[in-house]
Amino acid sequence: MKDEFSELENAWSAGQKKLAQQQPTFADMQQILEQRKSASRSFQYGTLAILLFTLIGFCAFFMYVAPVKQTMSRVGAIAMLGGLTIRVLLEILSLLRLRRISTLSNSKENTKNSIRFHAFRVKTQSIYSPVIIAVFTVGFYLLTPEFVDNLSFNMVLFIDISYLFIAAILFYVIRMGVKKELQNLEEWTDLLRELEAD
Amino acid sequence: MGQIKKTFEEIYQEYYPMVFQICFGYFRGEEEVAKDTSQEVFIIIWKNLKKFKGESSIKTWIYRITVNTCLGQIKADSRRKEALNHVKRDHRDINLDDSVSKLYQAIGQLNKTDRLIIMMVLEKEKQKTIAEILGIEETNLRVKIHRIKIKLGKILEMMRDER
Repeated sequence: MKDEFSELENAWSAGQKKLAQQQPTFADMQQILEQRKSASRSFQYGTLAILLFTLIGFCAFFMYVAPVKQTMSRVGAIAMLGGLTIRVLLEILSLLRLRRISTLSNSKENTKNSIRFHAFRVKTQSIYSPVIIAVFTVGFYLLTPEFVDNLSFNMVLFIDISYLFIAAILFYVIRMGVKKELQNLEEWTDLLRELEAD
Repeated sequence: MGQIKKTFEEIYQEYYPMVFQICFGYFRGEEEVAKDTSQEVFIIIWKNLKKFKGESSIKTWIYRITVNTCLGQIKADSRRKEALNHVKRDHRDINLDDSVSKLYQAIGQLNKTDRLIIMMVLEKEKQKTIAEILGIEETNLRVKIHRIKIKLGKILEMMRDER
């Protein structure tokens, strides 16, 4: 058994020498690192940027394009902006949790932190996001009476019906997100089980 | 900055083959994924080199980053559950000896953590260090290594019988 394992160690060592021939030059590696560093940054902050952009867009809309006057419309606008603000805060919290996952810690700790992160993502996607969309939707329809006063009925009808399609797409995207996060959570949990098993 | 860059270059020259081999074995011979993950490892090394206090050896520190980065590529690994078929093809691309190729194929049939453990054992890393990297008890690791060696032996035996 010992001799057999020594053979495997030799094969492993020989394999490393062969694979070393694939090593990119340091100059090539430096270039790759620069490209990948910026790509990873934009990926992490992408969702937050989109949400912030949407929030700023809606704020600008209610401030400059359609400053609503009726109480019901104001409640609607607050519900929409409030919902979006909470979603932005949740995304920031999620990024902070992601930062806590450190590849410098041991694998068990790293796995546990990853489980915590994905559990939070599942909660965000399956509970908070649908509630936020529901509040946003109620807020959106509370604007309808005041819009009817300022726009043609057909135009308002078109906007209200279009929103239903957008909401359906959003729910579908969230559902897919929940599925993905649940799968990630399951895989990390399996990994922890593997690590802790004898 | 100049000194850090020099140290990083030395680390890169010395440890890239080790990092790439672990990624290559972990991802069952998927060369592209192994390359991507190795690059990811070196990004993390570059970003954190200043934080390295020398509490462990640099090799152990790099191992820890490599192991965690491989485990973190959960989706990449799952997408490649059926990738065992690719192993032969990719190994032919790199033109490995038959015994080496068989070893990678056998390692690829183990589960995720077993793959990483046996690769560190093959690198002749101390059990105490491996246990620290994984965050598990040394006694637990010893049991695991014993079990993995038996499993690996059986897989290799089956592969020999198939020929």
